[in-house]
Amino acid sequence: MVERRPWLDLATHLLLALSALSLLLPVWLAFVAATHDLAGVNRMPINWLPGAHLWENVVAAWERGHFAQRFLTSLGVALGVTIGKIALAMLAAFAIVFFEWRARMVVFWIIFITLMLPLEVRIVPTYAVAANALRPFQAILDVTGLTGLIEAVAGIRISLEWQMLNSTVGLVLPLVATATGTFLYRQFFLTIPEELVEAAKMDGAGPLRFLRDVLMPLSRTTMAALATILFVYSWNQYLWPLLVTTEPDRATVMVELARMVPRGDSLPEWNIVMAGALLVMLPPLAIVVLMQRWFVRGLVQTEK
Amino acid sequence: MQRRATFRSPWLPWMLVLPQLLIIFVFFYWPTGEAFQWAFTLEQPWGGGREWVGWQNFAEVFSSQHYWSSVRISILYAVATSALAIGIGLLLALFVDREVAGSRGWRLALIWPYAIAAPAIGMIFRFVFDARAGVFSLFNAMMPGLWDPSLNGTHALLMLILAGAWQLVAYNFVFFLAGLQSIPRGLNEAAAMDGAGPLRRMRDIQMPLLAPTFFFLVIINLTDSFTNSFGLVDIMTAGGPARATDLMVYKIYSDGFKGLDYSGAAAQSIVLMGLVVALTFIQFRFVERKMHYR
Amino acid sequence: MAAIEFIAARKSYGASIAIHELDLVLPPGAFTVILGPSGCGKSTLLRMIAGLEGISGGELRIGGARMNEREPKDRGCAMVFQNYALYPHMTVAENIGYPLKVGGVRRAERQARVAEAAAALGLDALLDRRPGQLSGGQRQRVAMGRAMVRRPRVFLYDEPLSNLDAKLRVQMRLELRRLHEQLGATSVLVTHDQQEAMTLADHLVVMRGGRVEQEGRPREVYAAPASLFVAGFLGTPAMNLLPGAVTPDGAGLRLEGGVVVPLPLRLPAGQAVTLGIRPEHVGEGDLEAEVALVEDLGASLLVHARLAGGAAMALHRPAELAPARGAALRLGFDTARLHFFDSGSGQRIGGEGGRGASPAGAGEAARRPALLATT
Repeated sequence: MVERRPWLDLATHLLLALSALSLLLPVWLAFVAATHDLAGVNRMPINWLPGAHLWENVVAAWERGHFAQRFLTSLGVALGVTIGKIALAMLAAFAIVFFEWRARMVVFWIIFITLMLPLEVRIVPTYAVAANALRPFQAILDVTGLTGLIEAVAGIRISLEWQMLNSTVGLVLPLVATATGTFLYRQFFLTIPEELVEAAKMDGAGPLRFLRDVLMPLSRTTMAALATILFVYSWNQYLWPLLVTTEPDRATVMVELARMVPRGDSLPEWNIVMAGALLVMLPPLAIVVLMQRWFVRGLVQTEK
Repeated sequence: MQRRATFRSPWLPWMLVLPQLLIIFVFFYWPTGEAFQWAFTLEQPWGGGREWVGWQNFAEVFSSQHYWSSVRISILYAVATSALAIGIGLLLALFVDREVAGSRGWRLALIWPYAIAAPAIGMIFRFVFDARAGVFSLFNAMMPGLWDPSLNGTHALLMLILAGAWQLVAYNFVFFLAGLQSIPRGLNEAAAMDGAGPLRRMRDIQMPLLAPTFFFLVIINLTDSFTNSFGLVDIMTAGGPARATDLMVYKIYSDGFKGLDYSGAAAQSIVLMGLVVALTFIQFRFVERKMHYR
Repeated sequence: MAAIEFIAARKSYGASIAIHELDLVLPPGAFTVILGPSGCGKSTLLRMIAGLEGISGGELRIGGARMNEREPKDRGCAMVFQNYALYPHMTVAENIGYPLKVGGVRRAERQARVAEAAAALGLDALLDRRPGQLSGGQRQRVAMGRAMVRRPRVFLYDEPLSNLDAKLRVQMRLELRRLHEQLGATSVLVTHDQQEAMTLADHLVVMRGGRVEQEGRPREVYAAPASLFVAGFLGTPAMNLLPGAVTPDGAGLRLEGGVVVPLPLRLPAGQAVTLGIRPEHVGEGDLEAEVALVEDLGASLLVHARLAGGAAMALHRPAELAPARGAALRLGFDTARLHFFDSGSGQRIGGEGGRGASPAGAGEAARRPALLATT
């Protein structure tokens, strides 16, 4: 603050308080709804203050949504995407920044173009790939005529198949297939002073040793920032899990939440649905509140 | 960009990038390529393979009245959501940046919505705006039909826009705040010494220097509204009532997976890709280059 | 102790040449300083020894063995970097011990050797700190410790003192010298600071534009610079350099402004020759000058004078005799202290120069003030 302006400060606080409250309002109403019984939630005018039925609604939502299992599935997906993306991103960025090789720029662009197109715009064929992840390779074999050749020579019809629907791998891998983390890691690696690399060389450390002993410990903050963002991002995924989990039992929490409202005209039990909504938003909310600093840093640095 | 100090190895860099290359080949390049193939071909009945049909799929898509209404709604949704979210985000950031006491707390109070999943907030908004159970139930009881997003398309779209903006405000706020905090303090102080008051400084110093952030966010918000709106639509309106909220990304999903029209969905995907790429291109070509005062 | 030999060694980046074909021997066990302005190739030379830069042609030998293809870690060299390049996430002890850890030295021995290096550098109390908690001088010591602990044949220093403040720099200079004497390895230091070079070096190599301009003992190089470049680069304040032309009879040099100085050897009439004289060697004589500016250096004065005809000349005077601005001076030179350079090529004229090598006759002539004639 440059100068004292008590009135402006007060106005600032008021405006901010008002904004914070209006952002909070829908979630507050959801919370209130989750604390009433069915009659209470359908009352007119609506209740603005919490009732006494929170625990029963939460238990009901937990059981009706099989959340014990769904939370495990979602946790698996979120951790898989987070760890997978960080590991792949670090290795790829390391190769791109710290090695001199001919294909470097080509690989760089191949990876970075993936930043342009989100999963949603190629969703239909991606689904086809998830139904058989080896489909691209089968197609290559077919087109190049290798399938026919092998069939003629060995008498075996090659048929590659790896069905990923309803599996954690199928949920995770397509979400890993972008360069978000690679870009962030590259930016970080470019800030490492050259002398540090040279000192490591003089000390006799090879590339992998340098990665393990120097880069990984130094990238802890980058890793934390990336991890918070990726966890929230993957926990909150909806479209892809909706498609891939054709068996109801393999659903993630988000897919399950969507199912809690009956299609058609019957009135949902809003108190239980809202309890479910509160449950599924808790883990990412906890991450953002507890790791605010990393989260903000990750958000700004990845620029999506 | 190339560093002087590097390692050399004929195979190690390949081993390091191989996992990433494999995954993006299988789950990015192949599907993207296939989208193009499907868009220009038609699957023959009785397993006859795919037949090349040129622009026919596109022609069909473009001749559909439903498609153009979907495009119109998408643009309306994207522009309204972005404008709302950017305007509010900017305002909040300007005030939080005044560093009145407790601004760290304010930051937390304003960024948490970004952590809320689209299905969760969609569900919450659906409840809040529900004609029979939500805030409006009382008014509806007094004046039937005053507000009902399940019957009135305009109401449904409005509800969708509010939810979309609610989600994006936090993101924009974080970026504007980061942008503001990267403006050298001295600049603000110099302007204060020159006699400019806080509001005047916002207008004369901070807003112009925020221009790069602003345009960056316009692009990101638009892209996000075009591609990332599936969750909200599916939970809140399922495209209805009467296709009033049938956004492009939702239409791709429903045509492809419910209508099983892969070629049509692929053609629509290509159009959406074109849109996203064009926005990205604008960002790189014009915004990144011209807007930095350096 | 290992000598470092460059045999027709070259370094180029595509079309641009960083080091021209170079034959150079850095004597074993000596403290060699490579001096030159930025961009002269001195750091490249050091990095070629270290193995951080490849060698485009020719050969590099250390201790007689060819090094071209060897990895940095296998050359027996240790390096201290300009910004120290300490690993920020490791403690002082971990930093110093890292080369040993990579080399697979066992923990007990590692600790002993780290302790030994730390003791030699006075770092005992800081072993658990991280680089971020250390002062510049302390970081410098840690970097030296990391180099020492491997017991290398060769120490390489890349402008190690340039990030320190002036007082600390002098102190660390002494320390470097002491360590060198204690360790007895071959040391090579790169710097652009000529004072640092003079005080540290057993052997001085002056570089310019990717070539060696002159090498030798610092005192020799100072006393007899081989070229205008070395003459101007070595010494503060810099040597006075006065352009002129050889008189028609070939026996004197007419400076700009008309002053004629006798030449120690005959030169072709009309040749463009530059006269050099260091400020500390300007004495009293018949040459008329006027005081333009006086700088007080504390121990002495540096007087900037203007000769008749306008040429500028700097000279030292004792602090007590402060001449006022505009005061008249009468200057003279010891002929033995004069340096002559061909203005075109920049090369020194007249033998090995300043060590009394004036052909006009050494001995008493060198001590007699020159007679200067004004025409």
